[in-house]
Amino acid sequence: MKKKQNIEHTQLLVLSLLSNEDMYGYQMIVELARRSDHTFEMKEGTLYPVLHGLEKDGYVEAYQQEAPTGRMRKYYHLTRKGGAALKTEAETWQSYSSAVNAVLRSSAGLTMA
Amino acid sequence: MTRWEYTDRVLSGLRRLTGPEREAVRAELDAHIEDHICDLLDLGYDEELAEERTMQRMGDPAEVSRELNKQYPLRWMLLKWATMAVTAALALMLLTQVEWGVVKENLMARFWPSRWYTYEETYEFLDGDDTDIRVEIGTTTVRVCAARVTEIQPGTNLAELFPEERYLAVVVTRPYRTSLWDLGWSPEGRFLTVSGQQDNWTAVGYQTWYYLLPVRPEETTVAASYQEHGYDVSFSIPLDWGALP
Repeated sequence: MKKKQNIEHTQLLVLSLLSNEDMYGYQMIVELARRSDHTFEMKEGTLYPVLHGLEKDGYVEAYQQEAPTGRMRKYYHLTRKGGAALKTEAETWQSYSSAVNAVLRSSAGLTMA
Repeated sequence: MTRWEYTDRVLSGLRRLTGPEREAVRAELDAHIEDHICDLLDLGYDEELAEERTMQRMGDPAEVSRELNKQYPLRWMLLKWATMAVTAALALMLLTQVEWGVVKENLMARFWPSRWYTYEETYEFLDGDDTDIRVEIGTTTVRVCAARVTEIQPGTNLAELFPEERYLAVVVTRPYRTSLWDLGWSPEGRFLTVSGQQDNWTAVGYQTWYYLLPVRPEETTVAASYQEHGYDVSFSIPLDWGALP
């Protein structure tokens, strides 16, 4: 692939999660595990450097909101810039994975599902 | 490791974050841990085991700390500090009624020393005894406390300022038994306006005013005549050529 990946895959997954609704950190972890059938079970603390990086770059913005339990939670919201980045990177990823699949399919002895 | 030890360890490595940012990180991690423990308690875990499992899922606090630090580059920290310093300076100036001009003069003296002189620089440059000539400005007396002659040295700020001159008279005036605040504000601005000779005079300073005037060896006095706070002011100051090295 000639195009350089601008954001990491974890960032792409986070942006993707936020494309539907605003979420707080723990909610993202749970949702990521559920949607990936527990394939993506990252060390949960490492989510926050990713979120703070995205916030610093303007891809997401954060706000505080009180949970029904009374606890304050920090929610993340996908910005317009984040939405555009998600679209671009998702297309790149699709193109990349298609290319990898094509190579694998053409390899002798490999049977793709 | 308890949940409190975990957040403490993460925060201990966050050297590029401001105090409020660190507390925001602590609150966010605490909330996350609390959510995870509550979920495990709902699944029937006892409290101790729920905390232990949660800590295992959180990962290495040192790694989290290191990665968080990377999201706060040094330049951002410096920018934040600079912003805080400027804000604090502004607040201090408002509280103490310090004038913008003082800050400006000192900054100018620091970065463009050929054009401006701080009080300290000028006073050190004078290095002589005060005179005691008093000038009436309305109901206030301004004291001319120094009038010295110096030879302009090549390569100095003064040589840049007065490239065609060799000798310079430095006149220092200060208010006498009053504050310059009591004088009010001159319509022309804070600095004195010297009639007809403005191009030759440089006035800097705040509570003390300084004038730099090129002089010839044959001149025995330096005279000034100007409008100050609506009053006509004039004085003539003898020059002490004997103080020259």
